[in-house]
Amino acid sequence: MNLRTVHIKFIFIFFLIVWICGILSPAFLPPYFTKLFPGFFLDKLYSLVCHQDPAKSFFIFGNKLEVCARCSGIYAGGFIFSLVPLFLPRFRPQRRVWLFLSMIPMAADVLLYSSGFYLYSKWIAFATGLILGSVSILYIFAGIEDYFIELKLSSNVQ
Amino acid sequence: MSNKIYLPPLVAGFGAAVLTTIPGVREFGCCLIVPLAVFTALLLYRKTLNHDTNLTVKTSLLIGFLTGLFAALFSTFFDVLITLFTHSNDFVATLPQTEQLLNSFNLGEAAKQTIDLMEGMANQITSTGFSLLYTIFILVSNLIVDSIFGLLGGIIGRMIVNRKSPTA
Repeated sequence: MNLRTVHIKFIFIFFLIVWICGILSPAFLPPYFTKLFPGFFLDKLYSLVCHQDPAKSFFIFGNKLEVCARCSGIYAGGFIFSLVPLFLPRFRPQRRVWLFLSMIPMAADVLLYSSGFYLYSKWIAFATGLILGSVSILYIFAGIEDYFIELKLSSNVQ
Repeated sequence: MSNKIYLPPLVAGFGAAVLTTIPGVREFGCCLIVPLAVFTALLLYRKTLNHDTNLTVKTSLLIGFLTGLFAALFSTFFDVLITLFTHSNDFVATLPQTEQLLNSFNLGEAAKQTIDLMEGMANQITSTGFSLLYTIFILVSNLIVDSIFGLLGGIIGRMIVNRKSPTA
């Protein structure tokens, strides 16, 4: 793994932390913040990637987070597993099957609760999101590494 | 790289924009709509290539970015169009509650400026069906979010679309 790949991964983790801080912001900022213009912009930004249904979202200190439980799980999983390369720098997923498998719990949950097999559970949604987010981040990092391998190969050819 | 690269993102981006406009779909799709659209665009692009080669990360990123870009442009267009016909949207509908909440905190000048700005936009929307500031606001938000999620979809989608292993 070259130094540029490590830098890019750190930049990625930094932006992921910023994104997660935005999600948690209603819990730690005064309640009127989301109604003032910067907060309103933030709220609108997250509404583009999530339905933000209060019934399907977590509340911290009585304030609703910017995204639903499932999305919270995706980003939490992404953040936790983005730290894997710090401890296992040579680790990378070798087979696509793990990505497919990580999607199954989420798809199953959506299908089962919407067809009435059980009632919607925030924690199940969070857990299924956590699985997908955890696995996806490893593939994103693998993709970043591949990009630099491609760059190196093309510069060698030239 | 040929002109063939623009058509799949255009089709997939349009599809994603349509899906985000339909009420209820976002509830299932959440943040996965744009990445799934990119995956579709990568599949379509791969179909246009006659040979069975792996897509490069650079190509996948470009397709991802373009899909996000087109999705942002189309969804902004749909949003503006619907607002133009209905003279209302979520923003206008929730404004009275927002004003009530802001007034209850006695925030002074900051709240007054925000309320004035929002009222201006809401008045334009209810009277003409269009507000330039609101449109810019929506467009910028869409461009930021969709292009980022498009790039991520490009990286992950490539892993799925390529038949050989990621390291090959």
